Amino acid sequence: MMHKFEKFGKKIVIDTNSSSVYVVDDVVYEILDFYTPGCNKNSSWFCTLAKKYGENEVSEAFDEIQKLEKNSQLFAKDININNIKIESPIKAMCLNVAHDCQLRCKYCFASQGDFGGQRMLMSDKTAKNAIDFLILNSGKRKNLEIDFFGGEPMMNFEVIKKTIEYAKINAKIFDKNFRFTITTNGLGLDDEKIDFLNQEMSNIVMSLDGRKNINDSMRITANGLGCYDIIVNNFKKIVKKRGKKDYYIRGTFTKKNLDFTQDVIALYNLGFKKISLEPAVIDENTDYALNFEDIEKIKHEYDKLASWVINTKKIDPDFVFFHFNINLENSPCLTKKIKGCGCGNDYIAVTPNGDIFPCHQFVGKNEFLMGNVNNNLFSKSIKSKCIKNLQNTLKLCKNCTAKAFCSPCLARSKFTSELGCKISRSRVESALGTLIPE
Amino acid sequence: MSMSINMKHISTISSPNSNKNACDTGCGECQASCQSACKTSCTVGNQKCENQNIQICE
Repeated sequence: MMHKFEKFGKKIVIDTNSSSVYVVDDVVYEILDFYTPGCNKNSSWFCTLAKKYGENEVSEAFDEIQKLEKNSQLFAKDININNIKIESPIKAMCLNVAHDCQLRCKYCFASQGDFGGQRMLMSDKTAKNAIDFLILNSGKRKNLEIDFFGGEPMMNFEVIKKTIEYAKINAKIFDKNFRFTITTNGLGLDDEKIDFLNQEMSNIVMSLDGRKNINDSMRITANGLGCYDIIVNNFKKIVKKRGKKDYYIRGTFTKKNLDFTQDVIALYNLGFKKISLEPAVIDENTDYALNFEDIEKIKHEYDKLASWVINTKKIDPDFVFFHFNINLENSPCLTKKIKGCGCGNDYIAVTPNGDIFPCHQFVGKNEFLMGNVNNNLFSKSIKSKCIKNLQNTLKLCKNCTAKAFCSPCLARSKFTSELGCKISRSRVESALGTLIPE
Repeated sequence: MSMSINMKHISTISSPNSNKNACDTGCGECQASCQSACKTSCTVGNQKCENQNIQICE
């Protein structure tokens, strides 16, 4: 499918099936209002446009479009997903070492850390069983991933240390390469913990929402106080000592800060160069939940952010806004795009008691309980259900203008509405606007 | 067939037939998207292919 739009004075065309991206002139842009695969120059619209732009110009532009069409780089045929092998060994695990948190963030999809269940920490025995389970079910995959998640994973620091030590020993035995990442709220960190994280984690995701008043209105402690002043200092320490290793400051925006460009700028002004800011996934009945009436504002704000990103990258090429960072040069392969996040297929989440769910957003949804790492039980039927759900979701994505750069999210299709997809589509267009050379 | 050349009316910014990703392997060695900086707003567009051994398509 061909999709065209204008952004920052550029006329951009995407071929969603081949993932091709073009910048075109006025003639091509207008021809594409009428052009259909296999059409010819005898069409009535051709004469109309020839009068407007001149016959030679329209003829040349037509030939260029036709050339791309013949090369399956424009109006490419839809991908037959039945030809893609979706089932995979497990390679990535979200290890929820703590279903507890010092914060009571209002928008937390994990119900303030406990995922709707008991507050508890994972034992080192369960963590080791999780590592064994991952290795056992990883087939020939060499690169395995453990993301320490919660709740607040650093509330279970000793188990994190033991888990990494155990995984490294077993990586040598089984010829695997573990990558460790963590998502932390920044509380309870000291120099020893910071040094450990910087040494062991290939990526550290630090939760901070931007401006102090925005952060402290949502990210509050159990006694109702904001956490900004503590965590900003800790995050600065991490980044200062981190060198060139990956990190992201990850924030959330809600209806209360639809001017979220100001939050990205606030984070940048604190010295952070790698920033992610995502729409909140929350109960639509809360007064800070995003809804359909916010879409136009969000779209406008992403464009505003994109303009700021374009100007900032001119003076600071190291700056990265995660969701605008579409990788056009070395993008993931077609199989990866089809399989998406791998939820319940090559990616799973494990709770403190060892229960396995398709992903962190499914934790606590017992109809999706896949098994338990402590007794090595694993339900292939839930895995099959996830793959079936993926195939059904891909059908919904078939005519989506963002499908070349987005991917199906089973949690979104299962538990949320079309809203997230609308936001993704506007974000992709703004992102592409930042990638077109001036 | 590779065709990333720019024409008079159309500039190619990215075209998969002109890079290695057309030789699709699905080796699965790349990062899971929700293990990056996003846990709620899934995307694969900013992921990178980590397979250095894929031949460039002709």
